[in-house]
Amino acid sequence: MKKISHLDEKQIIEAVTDERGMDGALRSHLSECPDCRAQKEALQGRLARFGHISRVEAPLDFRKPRVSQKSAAALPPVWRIRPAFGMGLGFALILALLLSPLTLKRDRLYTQEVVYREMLQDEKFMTEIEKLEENPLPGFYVGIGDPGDDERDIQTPDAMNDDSVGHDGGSRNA
Amino acid sequence: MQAAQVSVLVERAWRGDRNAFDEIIVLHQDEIFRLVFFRIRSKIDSEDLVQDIFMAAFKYLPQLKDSDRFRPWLYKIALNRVHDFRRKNKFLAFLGITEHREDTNVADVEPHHNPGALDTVLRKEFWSHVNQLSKRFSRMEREVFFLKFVDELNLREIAQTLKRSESAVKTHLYRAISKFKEDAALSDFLQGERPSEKNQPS
Repeated sequence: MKKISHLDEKQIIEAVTDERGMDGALRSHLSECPDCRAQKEALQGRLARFGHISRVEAPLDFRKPRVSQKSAAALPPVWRIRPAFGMGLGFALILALLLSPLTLKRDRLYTQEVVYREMLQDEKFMTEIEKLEENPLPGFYVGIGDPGDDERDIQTPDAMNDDSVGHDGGSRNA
Repeated sequence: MQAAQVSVLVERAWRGDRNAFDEIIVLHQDEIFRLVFFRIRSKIDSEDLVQDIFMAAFKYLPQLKDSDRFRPWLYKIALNRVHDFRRKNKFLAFLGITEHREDTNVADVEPHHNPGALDTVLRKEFWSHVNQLSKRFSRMEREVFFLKFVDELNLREIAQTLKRSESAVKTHLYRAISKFKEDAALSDFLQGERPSEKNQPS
């Protein structure tokens, strides 16, 4: 068996974690070497003290549990006990609802209705585009003379003939 | 507590002996309360959860296959309930329905001994060290460390409770002990003697 000088820090922790799982030579050294044993016992002592203080700190004047036949019967239903079962059941219900004939029929009707409405809207939109192609100016410019005419002869639309509008195009009632 | 004694009680409870289950409760109520209390840090909530845990244990006892595994099985129920409680609390806190009380100080709860003025200071210091240490642990390291040194479960029981292999438990425990050893302030604290400990049974 090879000679071991002393256990290092990691081996001491390993010994505290599980001494029986250690290498035979290390275990044998630990049982013979007072220095290594003292190190291991010091760490074990601190851990035991930690546990002891923690246990002492817990209040013991708590309300003691009581199990009666009646209260045990009032335990939560099966879906809470087995979350996977509950989730599966919920998923199956949602799937059944989605695939039910009533839902499918409603979906189909809804789809047809929407397509028809969209077709009408497209048609209306195309008509507007055609109108704009014929006359791109807004309604109140219709009937205004040629752009080459004298500026003084231009008829000002009513909407623009407001005194409150400045010549520089500033805001009203500024 | 004798494992064989618990095993016999479990078998009696399986046969419908209500007194046997009452005895099981008496044997485990303190340790289960301690387990819950350290994790949720509220006495009232711990009392409710302990009640809930024993109710669940009573109801599902017939599903336990091996009476020798009662303790890890009960601990597993307890830890699951604690996790459910934390999840619910976080969710309710998120919705603003309740206050998230994860950081409640254990030192503010009266222990089962009568603390003197000096002891109160030391208790606060101890729990401050514990909080600091806990923050350095991963969830699994924390669980393994407390189950081993506070709840005094052996490696096999911890593995059964957490449904991990023994080697995985050893790895987590090794890391946790390393972190514990590195905490010089906690080591110094633990080397001092506390007044209340002089009269405490170990």
